[in-house]
Amino acid sequence: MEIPYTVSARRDTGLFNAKVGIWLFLASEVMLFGGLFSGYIFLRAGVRPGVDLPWPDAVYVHGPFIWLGFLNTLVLIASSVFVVLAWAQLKMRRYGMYQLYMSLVLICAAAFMVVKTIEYNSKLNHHFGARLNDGTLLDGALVADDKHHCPGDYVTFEATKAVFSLDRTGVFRKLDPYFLDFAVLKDGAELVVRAPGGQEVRGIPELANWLEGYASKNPSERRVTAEFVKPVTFQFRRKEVFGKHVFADRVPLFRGNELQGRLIDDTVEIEVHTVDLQMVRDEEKALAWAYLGEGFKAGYDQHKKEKLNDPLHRSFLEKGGTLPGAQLRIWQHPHPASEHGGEHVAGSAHGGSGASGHGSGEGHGAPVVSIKSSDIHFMGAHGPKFGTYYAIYFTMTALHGLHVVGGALVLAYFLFFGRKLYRKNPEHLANRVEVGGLFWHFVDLVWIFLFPIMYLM
Amino acid sequence: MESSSEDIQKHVKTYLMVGATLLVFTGVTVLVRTLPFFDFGVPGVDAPDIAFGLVIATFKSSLVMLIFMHLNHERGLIYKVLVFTVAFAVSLMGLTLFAQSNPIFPHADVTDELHVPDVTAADVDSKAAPAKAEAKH
Repeated sequence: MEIPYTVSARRDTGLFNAKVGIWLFLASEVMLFGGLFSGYIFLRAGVRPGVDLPWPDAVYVHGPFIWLGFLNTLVLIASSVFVVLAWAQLKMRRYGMYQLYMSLVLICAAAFMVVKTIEYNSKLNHHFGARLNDGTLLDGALVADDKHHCPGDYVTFEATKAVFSLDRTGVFRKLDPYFLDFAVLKDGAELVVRAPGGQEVRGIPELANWLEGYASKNPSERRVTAEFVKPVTFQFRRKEVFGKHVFADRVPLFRGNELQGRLIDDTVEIEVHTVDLQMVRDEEKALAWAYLGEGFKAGYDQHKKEKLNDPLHRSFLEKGGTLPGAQLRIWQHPHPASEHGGEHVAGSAHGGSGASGHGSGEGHGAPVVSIKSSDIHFMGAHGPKFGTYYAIYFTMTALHGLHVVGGALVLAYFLFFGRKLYRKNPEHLANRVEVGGLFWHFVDLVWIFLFPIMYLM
Repeated sequence: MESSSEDIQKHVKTYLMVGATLLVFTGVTVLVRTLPFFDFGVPGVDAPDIAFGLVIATFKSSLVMLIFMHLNHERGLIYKVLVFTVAFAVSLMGLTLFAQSNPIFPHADVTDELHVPDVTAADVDSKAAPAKAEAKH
């Protein structure tokens, strides 16, 4: 069947059909992104100063990635020019030039996505922040070992008892002391459990068998407690702990299992790049200083003084202006990008001494601190859950990224499979490219707004 | 758009000019954030900076729509579609105003608001540790 009006215009609309279609589609796209932009305004304007977490400053969120965002904007604008030139070449019946320009469009699209991937990877895997209970925000990186495991993310627990759930509901039909399997047993400790009857069970497979036997003999019991013959030290990834919350005498695990004993170490190691005290009542007594020490504090105070005295701020204040005080409460360490860890600061929050913070404010690299998890209100990588800004940032930029991929696929089809159509009816291919190009321009349009809003403001 | 080959050749020049303009104005947008000269109002990001950035973005997007997307000479039907699109998009933005006038969590409910005092010229001259935070009750 011949599809009508692919080349010639319909008399009533004056347009070929695909063009009407793409404009209707773009109208719906405006509604999609419009809703998200509206949501962005709602979230940002809804922040109540001093009550909600402050809207983060894009400069601190993105750092050097502002320039990558800028680069991406240039790349996308260039691709927009190339796609319209590709269409123009088709109109002039220069197929070779069309291929050249369309290839450039696809190269630009690929470059955009590569930069985006680098940026996302940095945020999701390398940037990490912890908000402490007094409102201090310590931002930086989790200290990771060579295997990209984060030792700072481990909980060390000495267990004397294990409580096994005998619940077989849901998908978990098999009773399995599975958590003993993934927990790292320190010093190659042997796992020997004394069962309620007094019998000793050695090793995980035997333990699983014994649990099955115990459950079938005692169908009414929901849980069984077994003692370790010798206390065993476990290390858990925090995400393997149920609710991610560890108690001084027990570690709740998934599927109703639990370890009982004594918490040995529950700290998170962070290489601190930025300290943000906007939500702290008394910045002199901020929890940050207990960890970071006097050296870092001196750097923070110095930065504040310098900022107030720089020509821009000074002249503004001397003209009678007032600056929001919170704005001065963020300090980025001058040398945050130390690949292999900064200095380890010896001080701790409780009982911390003068030994902490040696030289950390003097540009010797960002300090590494071990923060007690009881001092942490929440922590995480700079993913969508790190805050409202991050949520809307990832939603909008990822949706935009999907549009880039989708648009590039369509344009790639026109490039690689267009020759046959060009020979048959070049105007038809030109119309297709025009319509694909209109979508591509729309994607560029969205980025023209996204870039300043997400990266600069 | 029906055009002859010569017309298209002329358009190509326009496209290149527009592309260059877009690149330049992208640079200007970045300068608004990075150069003190372009920092309007209070130092740092505030309403005038945001307004300036959005005006540039609107200008850039207008160029893209008018020239690249050929909206400077298009058929009536497309404008009719776009009139509705603009009307609904503006309404979407307008919805945020309702949230301002009727917030979900009104300020009145907050009892432990954190108030960081503003910084004035006095804080610079004294060179003492500026602006201690105090709780407002």
